[in-house]
Formats: sequence, structure tokens, C-alpha cells
Amino acid sequence: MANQSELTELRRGVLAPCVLALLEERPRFGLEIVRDLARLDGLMTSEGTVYPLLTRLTSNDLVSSLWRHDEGQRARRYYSITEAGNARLRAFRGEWTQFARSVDALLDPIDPGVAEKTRQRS
Amino acid sequence: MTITETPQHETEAYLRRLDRAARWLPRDQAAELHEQIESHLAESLPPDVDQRGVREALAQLGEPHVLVREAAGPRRRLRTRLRRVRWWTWTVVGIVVAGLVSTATVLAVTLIPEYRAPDMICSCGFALTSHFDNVHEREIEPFNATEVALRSNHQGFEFDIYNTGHVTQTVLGLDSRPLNGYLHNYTLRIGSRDEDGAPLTNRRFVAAPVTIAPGQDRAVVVSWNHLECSAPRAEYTVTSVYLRVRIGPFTRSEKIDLGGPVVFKVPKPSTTTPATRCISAAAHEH
Repeated sequence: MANQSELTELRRGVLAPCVLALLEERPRFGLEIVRDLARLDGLMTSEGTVYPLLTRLTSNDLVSSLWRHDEGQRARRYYSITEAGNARLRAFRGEWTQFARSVDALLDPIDPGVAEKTRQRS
Repeated sequence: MTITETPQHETEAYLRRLDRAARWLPRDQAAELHEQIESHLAESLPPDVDQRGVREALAQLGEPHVLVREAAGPRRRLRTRLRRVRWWTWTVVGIVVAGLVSTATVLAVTLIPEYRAPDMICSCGFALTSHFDNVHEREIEPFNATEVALRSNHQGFEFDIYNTGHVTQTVLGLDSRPLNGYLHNYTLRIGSRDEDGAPLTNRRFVAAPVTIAPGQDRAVVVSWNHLECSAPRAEYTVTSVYLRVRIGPFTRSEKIDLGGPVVFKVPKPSTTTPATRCISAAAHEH
């Protein structure tokens, strides 16, 4: 079993690109992002940490936010990816593919199941 | 009185804890985090949620201090803390810094001139042997060697020092270094008043320390008893004297040049004196 703090650090590192990837599809409001991420097993330690991340991405101009008041619904802050965010996401995708391949290559001999799952997913 | 916990109380308590934890975040960031979490709870909790459901939702959100730590980010914590320092704290810090700068400036203005005060200078002087009076003194010749024949074991010289600076100087005594490398056990006496021009015998001398105001003159007599046996024609040359001087809080050595070298010479042997002799006060007193 992996060390909890190692997993937390790993999640912290990939959570931002995952949020950017969700926003690349379409603008989303906070709870929507949290729920989408929560569907992916093991990606989030706690739902609340997504909000500080959104704030950081906004202050780094990777994400912009806009209040929208839809009919019959409460006002929501919608987050959209910016040009800089898109560029960051593209860069991460290229690096991640290579990174994940390297890690898989090392981990495969220890746990063959991981390699099998990776193959099935891809 | 018993307070019944309701789901609303739970969420309000959570938001209060969040606000407390976010005190050191920048205000706009803290407000945004509050708004995000409040909005999250309002949207995610169904209207008929029970207390257990609220607790589960809050547990899913995570501890407030963890959210705040995430909001600050690893590299921003110090900067963020500094930003949250209240205006009056900065005011106090500013006053303290201004006080320190002012004190340093005052010290620099008042102390550095003292530190940089010029050494006292020597005006005319006399080499002395035997009795220190006008009869046995020999004026030190500027730039030329002044030869003085030793007639007793009591020798020395008199010179005037003049405080040319703008700060008072206090002569503490002679520096510990020997006059010319081998003459020791000096006695220092300094004129108690500015008596420039008065006969040496009429002047009043005191032991150090003596304070000399700017522009004032003092006579100084440095003498010693030469108790060693001297070879004939031995010479003891002295060109300067080092004084320990205190100026304000500083103590330093000041080199007082005598104007020209003073050479104390042992007379050449005569047929009646041995090749090596001890100069004795008894034999050569008047």
C-alpha cells in the first residue's frame, strides 16, 4: 500500500491539469468540477481542495471566472480555461504521456496487473 | 439550556472555522474561499438533509485549515502572512525602524567626528637630563638630531601638545609600547592648565588623565630612570611618543612627533672612567 502523503503529493501535482482538461471541454461551475473529479477514483483527497486550486489557477491567468445567474437557479461562478491555460494543458499532455510510460515501464515487473489495466484503459 | 444542533448550525460552524483559519490569507482570497465553500454546501446539500448527511458532506470537503493551506500554496505562505499583517503593526515597525535609523544617524554625526578627530600635535619641546629645569634643558631642533649628553640616570623631555580638533581629548597616559624599543618605566606628567610660554619650573603638573579642550595647549613631561649600565657612546634615540587618548567613547593611540630625533648619548670614556660604566645619579648630580 502506497504511503498516504506520497499519494497526496501525486494528486496535488495532477489535479490542476485535470481541472484544466475538464474546463477545456466547456465552462463549469465549482460543484460541477468537484463532482466530475469525484467520479474518477482516487483523484481527490477532499472536495474542498478543488476551490483553492481554482482560485490559484485564476490568479495565474490559466482560468477565468464569471458569475452567471440562470433562470430558476442560484447565481454560480463559472470557470473557463484561458489561452494560457490551454497552452499549459498541451504542454502537460506531452510531458505526462512520456512520464506515465516511464513509470509504467518501471512498475510493470512488480505489479503486472497495473500494466494489464493500463492496456485495457487505453 | 441545551442547544440543538441542526444541519444549518453544522454548516455555519464549519464556515466560522474556515474564516478563522483563513484570517492570515489576503482578504479577497479569504472571501472568495468562503463564498466558494458556502456555495458548494448550498448546492450540494439537499433541503431535507439530516445532520449525518451534513457531517459526511463536511468530511468530504476536508478540514478548514487544510483548505486554507492549499489556498495559500507552498511558496506564498510567508508573503500571505505578511500581507495580512495589520496596518498598525506596520506603523509600529515603521516607527521602530525610523527610531533606529535616527539613532544611528545621531551616533554617526556625534561619534564619527570624534573618531576622526585629528591627533594632537606637538609644538616646541626640550630634551631634559638631570634636574628638569630651564638650566639643564636643551631645545629640540626641528628636523635635526638633538644630542643630549647623559649626565644622570634621570632623563626625559618636555613638549607641548596642542589639540587642533573640535572635540575634547583626554590623555590617559603613555601607550604601552617602549619609546624607542628599549626604554621603559616612564613617568608622564601633564600641565594642569594652558600655560604656554611659562617657565617649566613654574608650571603645575599632574598625572594623567588630563582633559584638553579644543584649541588648548598642555605641557607634557615624559621622564624615566635609566638604571642599566650603558656602554660608552651608547645612544638612545627617541623621535616620537605614543599617548593613549580617549575621545568620546573611543580610546586610541596618538603618535606625538617631537619635531626631530632626540639622541641621549652616553659620554665617551675618559682616562679616569672605565670602558663600561653605570650612569649613576649620585655621581653626576650637581
